[in-house]
Amino acid sequence: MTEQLSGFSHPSLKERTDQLIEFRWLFIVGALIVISIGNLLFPDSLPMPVLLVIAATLAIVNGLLFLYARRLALSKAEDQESKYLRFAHLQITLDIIVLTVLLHFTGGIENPFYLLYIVYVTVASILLSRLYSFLYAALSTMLFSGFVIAEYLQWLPHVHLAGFVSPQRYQRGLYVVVVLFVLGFTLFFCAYLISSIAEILRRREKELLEANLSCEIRAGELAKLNARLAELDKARSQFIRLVTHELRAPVAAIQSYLRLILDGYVPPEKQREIIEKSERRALEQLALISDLLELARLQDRRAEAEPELVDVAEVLRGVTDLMQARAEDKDLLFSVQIEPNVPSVRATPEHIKQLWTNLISNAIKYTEPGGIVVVSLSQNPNYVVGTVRDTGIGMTPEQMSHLFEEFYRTEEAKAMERQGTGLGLAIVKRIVESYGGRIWVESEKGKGSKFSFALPKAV
Amino acid sequence: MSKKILVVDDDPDFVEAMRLTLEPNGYQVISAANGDEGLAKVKTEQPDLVILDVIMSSVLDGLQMSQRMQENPQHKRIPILMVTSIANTDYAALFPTDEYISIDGFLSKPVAPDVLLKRIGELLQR
Repeated sequence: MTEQLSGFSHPSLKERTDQLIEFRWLFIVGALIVISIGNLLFPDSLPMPVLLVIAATLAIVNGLLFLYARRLALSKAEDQESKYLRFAHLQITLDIIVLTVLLHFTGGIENPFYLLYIVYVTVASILLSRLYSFLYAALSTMLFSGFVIAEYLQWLPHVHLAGFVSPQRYQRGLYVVVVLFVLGFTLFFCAYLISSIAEILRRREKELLEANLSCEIRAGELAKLNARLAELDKARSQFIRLVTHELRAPVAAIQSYLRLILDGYVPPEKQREIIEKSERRALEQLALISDLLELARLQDRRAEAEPELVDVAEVLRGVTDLMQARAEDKDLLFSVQIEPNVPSVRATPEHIKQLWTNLISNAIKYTEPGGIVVVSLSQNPNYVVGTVRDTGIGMTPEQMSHLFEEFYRTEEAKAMERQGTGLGLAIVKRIVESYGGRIWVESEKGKGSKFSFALPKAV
Repeated sequence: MSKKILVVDDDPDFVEAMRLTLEPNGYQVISAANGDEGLAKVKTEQPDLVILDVIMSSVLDGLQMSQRMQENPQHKRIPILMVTSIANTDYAALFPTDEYISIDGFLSKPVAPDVLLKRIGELLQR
């Protein structure tokens, strides 16, 4: 019962129980008018004092109900909903009983106002659950049948409306049975029909409430998303600012040099040196632009070829051939340890190549001559793990926390190697993460660094 | 006696370009690669003018150096010429130059040699 009505908020229940009181005032007025007319039509038939007492009693009861409704509206009780429900039951039961009593005193089965039962069953079906609709239909049928049959059997006195219906009619058992059956059938059918419609409406109301709630939740999520977007937008502006600065600097340097040569500030013997410096900056700019393009490409995965099965060991062998020479130039001890049978990963081969190239060339770049660079490839149950270890300049924990940010280069790295876009590790990180992998670094300042990455094995 | 100019910039090519412009015109050029080094050189070398890059390793580095110079009464009178590769007016709002740092000139990279020499000449005459 409560479960079936849980979709019902008390505002609507309250509204309807209040309406019942209003309608009852109208009912009392209407009943008095009908009784008066009946008294004129059927002189000396109706027991007027009894009817007036009933009407007066009903008016007093309705006044009390009105006061109770006001108290109920003001109370803040937790069980207000169940109180309203009980109130609705009380009123409907009262109305059905009063109607029955009135009918008894105004002609019983002769009085066509017994159709009013339909109204009460309808009200019950709208307000209450289907079970109660049927119960009120049954109550109405029982009460009406009860006194009509009692009158028929002459257990109760019958009020005859002289000249309205022939006495043969209400004294015929078949007529009484048919009327009672039809009324009962109509009431049950009415209860069934109206409660079906009411249940649909209640369900809609509930759905609407739930939809409202989920809208509110979604609004909250949107606000969060918005904040996140604003954050991203800020980061993007910051990035653009940095890119602009990084892109302008080499061009400004080149332009300054060229202008100095053109304006004759550079003595002829120094001109070649200045042009070479300009070229170096131009090459730096080219490297920066291709790194930026790479970053942008990594961000826009749609533009890329489908990932394929890549043998990470094979790619590493290809890269080390190139790196070996560089390491030897720098007089570094360079060693590569590849575990046998390391499985493939699903990726774009160029990305894996770039991943190895960036990590190994960094290790070579930032390690003093005579140092060691060790590259290894192994596996654990779910991942292919690559590491690049060096005995280079290393980093402080503070520097490590910024290491993968775009354009970040430590002061020591800049001092050791002027050229560098500061994008290499950002690219590496993006590659690894775009394939669901992870990259991390362990380092100690002055001692060296160890970069490790784990890429998920291809299933 | 030739005037001494301190160039503070982390881009060695910019320092080189300044040197090429200024030295033939009779200025003595010294350089520093960051704000801290710059402040130290201000103290030891007592330059007549400072050319300062706004964005060095961090955005505020150049600005902080100029602020620190303002705090020291001895260095307050040294004119500062700010140079930056930030040209866009949007970013200029980042540097409320009038409010809390007093710089004497603001030039955008790349700087034309004749413009630079003219501004330096003006600032040194004051």
